[in-house]
Amino acid sequence: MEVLKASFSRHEISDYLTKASRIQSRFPSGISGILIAPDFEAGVQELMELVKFPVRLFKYREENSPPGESVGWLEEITLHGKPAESTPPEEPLSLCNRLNREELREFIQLEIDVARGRHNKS
Amino acid sequence: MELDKENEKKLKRGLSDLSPLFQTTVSSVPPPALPRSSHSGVQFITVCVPDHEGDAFLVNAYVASQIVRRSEVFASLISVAPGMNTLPSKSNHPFPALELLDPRISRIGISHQELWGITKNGPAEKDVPEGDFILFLEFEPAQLRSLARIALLLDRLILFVQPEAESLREAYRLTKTFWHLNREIEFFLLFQEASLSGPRQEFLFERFSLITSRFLGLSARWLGSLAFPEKNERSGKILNEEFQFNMEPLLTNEGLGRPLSPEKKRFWRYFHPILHRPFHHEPAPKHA
Repeated sequence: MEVLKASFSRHEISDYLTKASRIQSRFPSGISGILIAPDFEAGVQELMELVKFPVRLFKYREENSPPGESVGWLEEITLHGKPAESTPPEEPLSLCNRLNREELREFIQLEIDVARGRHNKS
Repeated sequence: MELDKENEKKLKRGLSDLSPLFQTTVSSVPPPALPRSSHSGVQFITVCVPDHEGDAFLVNAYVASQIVRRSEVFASLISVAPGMNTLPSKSNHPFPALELLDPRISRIGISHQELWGITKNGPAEKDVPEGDFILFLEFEPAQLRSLARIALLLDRLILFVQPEAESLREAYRLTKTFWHLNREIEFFLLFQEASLSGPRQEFLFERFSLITSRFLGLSARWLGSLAFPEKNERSGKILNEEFQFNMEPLLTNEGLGRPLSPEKKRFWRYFHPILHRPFHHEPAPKHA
């Protein structure tokens, strides 16, 4: 078994699509399973739905029983229903909704006109 | 301001779209039921709140309730969200759980994975069941996930905006995104304030319409204004009755791209038997 690790901060990459594509380029031959850190289960599950290859997801569980002894095991939390490959990543849309200079100018002008209208009323 | 001929034409067309608003007479409460359009068929609508996307799930239900209250249509809210995994798995239940919000409004939750599964490429659907039904697709556009897939399903997108330039700018941004994804979507503007004066609504709509015409080549339409229920109660009275929510354009199939696209056919074929079962109360699906 090969254990690899990749990390990037939320400030470095803020959106899921870019994170997913970064994972794919970091692990071109796929990933068999991921051990998710506590409290990040939901986010990682969502993220891995965007990755092209199917991945099994696990979290570490631990119980203190009997007192003084702890038992740990890996619990699988892969979302079942459809295999991950049935949810291919979307086209990047971040560029579609950017306003160009002329569009922005129109809305700035609208803001000025709205403010002027308010001022004239008062 | 001088308009060139093309813009003048578009403005005239936009204003003719508005004419039903001006013909509406002041109505008493409750408003009369609108005549049922002949065979409006199934249509796919979403209501977006561009500057408060978290409100999408509330607003779709609210608009659906307003439409159902004043017409004879049935509506269903299809919520697309992470964790909404209601596909039958271990149980023997053949359908996703259906939640009944009103005798004529139901809600079903599906996950992004299910959405992909339902609409994925497959054999062409030749005949699809008929029925007059509005399917409201609820989702948060900011998540981007499945947006392209959802856009392909949409017939109409209602932008529920504040009467402010900033809100209109966000509405335009959303319009631009969906317009790139599906050129057949009809865009409607609905203002969030019931007390907004008619001339101010007109001014804001016209400016928005001019911008969408100029840069995207599309004519947005105007549905008047609709306040959230608590605002109605707080203000005690609604000004400008004639500028209130005019839902008539939503009850016709005029302007809809028909016949249904393959994705819409698959989606409708999947949900038709669920929505046309005899309604009975079922527990809401449990989400993680």
